[in-house]
Amino acid sequence: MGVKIELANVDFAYEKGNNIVKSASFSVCPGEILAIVAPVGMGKSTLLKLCAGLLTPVEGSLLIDGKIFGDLSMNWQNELRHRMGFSFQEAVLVANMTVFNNLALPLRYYAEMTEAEISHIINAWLERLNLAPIGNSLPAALSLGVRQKVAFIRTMLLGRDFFFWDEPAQNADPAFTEMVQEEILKQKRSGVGQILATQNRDLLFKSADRVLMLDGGTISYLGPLKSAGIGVDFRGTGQYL
Amino acid sequence: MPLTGILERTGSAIWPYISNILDMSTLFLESFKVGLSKHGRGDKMVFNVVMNQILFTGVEAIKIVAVIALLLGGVTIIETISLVPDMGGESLIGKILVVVVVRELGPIITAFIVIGRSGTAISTEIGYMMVNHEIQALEMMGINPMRYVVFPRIVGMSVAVFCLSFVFNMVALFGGHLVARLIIHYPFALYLDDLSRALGFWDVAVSGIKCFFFGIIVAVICCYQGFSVKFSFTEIPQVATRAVVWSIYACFAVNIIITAFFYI
Repeated sequence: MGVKIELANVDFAYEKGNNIVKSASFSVCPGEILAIVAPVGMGKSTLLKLCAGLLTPVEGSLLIDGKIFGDLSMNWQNELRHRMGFSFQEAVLVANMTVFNNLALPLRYYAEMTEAEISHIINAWLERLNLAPIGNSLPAALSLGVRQKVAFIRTMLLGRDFFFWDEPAQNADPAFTEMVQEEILKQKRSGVGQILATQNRDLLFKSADRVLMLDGGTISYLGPLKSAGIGVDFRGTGQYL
Repeated sequence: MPLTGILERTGSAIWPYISNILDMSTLFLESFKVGLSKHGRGDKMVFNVVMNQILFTGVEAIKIVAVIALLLGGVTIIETISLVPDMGGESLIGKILVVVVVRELGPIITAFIVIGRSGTAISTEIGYMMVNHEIQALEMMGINPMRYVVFPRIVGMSVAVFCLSFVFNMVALFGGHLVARLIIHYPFALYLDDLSRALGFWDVAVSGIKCFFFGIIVAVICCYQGFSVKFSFTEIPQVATRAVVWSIYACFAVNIIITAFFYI
């Protein structure tokens, strides 16, 4: 269980010549939590998507367990992604599907469970988060906080080998934030690697093993949390936490 | 201006069009590669999306196709019956109707209806999914958008348009005669006799073939345009408009190629 994710000299730009990420190189091993810390708009989500293979680097490579992701066949890429959970900052759900169908979509697609098993698992999660009454609602009818909870459930249903968290509890209540922390630590204990992009101080201090700080698209610090100087305004980044 | 300069300018003017055609060909081939892959997942869900596409593009469009076929068929039949005998060619009535309605107007007008109704819906829906990061979310769930979004739309639309062409032809030729009878008297038996002598298997088949290709082309163009949306919701109406214009051009171009292939 658990895969190693590695970026090797990765550059990325949405527009030619305007690099958002410059020469990023780091790796995250199974059971490790790396937190990406940067001011708003400095490329945290972009770096996370590069690590998940959702964006293609302009230069450099993404390696998963030592294999270059871009060289794998489309089917292999999808099989790998199916075993990783990605929690989007925007709490992305498919707009024309109910909450239940959104959660069931990847499980049905891979047909690894019967319909009864899918219902059982999803209903258990919905009840755990007090979301059972909204199972048949469309995402547009939900608040951002509730959508984030639904997206969190979907991430948990999928993630087995790796997790990517992009501000997983940004719009949520304290109880949910605590639950997210617990689940992240539980996954860590079971040997699953995770990358967490966050500005939430509690989440960061309770879960991160290492911290990666971004400054103008380049990695300004990569190392243990305790040496990062966060909380005493480390290189101007601490003030955003 | 030196020759190299002219060639350079011509090349740079034409290249974007060639590049787009190559990109769309890649989209089509890639979607069929993953759509028909033995190792692909979610067959049942992909099949459901195909069925939904056929329902939306085909079944739900029958009413509008039938009404337009009825009116267009009526007008064409009135014009033909009223003009051709004056020119001393009653025997040409069936032939003209087959050429105008079955071979040419039927497929192209069916394509126009589908472009306006379903093509814009596809480009808008995919454009929305791009801006809303739904496509990325699908990718991250291990669901290939080529297999789950593009492939079923191409298959569903081509099957639907193929079937709609038969609906259009039947309603235009037979329903159109009923409309024409309100204005002009031409015995149905005589009309049927003219038509049966003029209408051959290949006329109907070519009409179907044209519509089948129109379905593929419209679906590919509209999916391609939808995927070209990058950052903003304001791009969505622009790509929908572009999808309509490109689809119309492409359908006319393919129409003339198929006509030339089968009838010259």
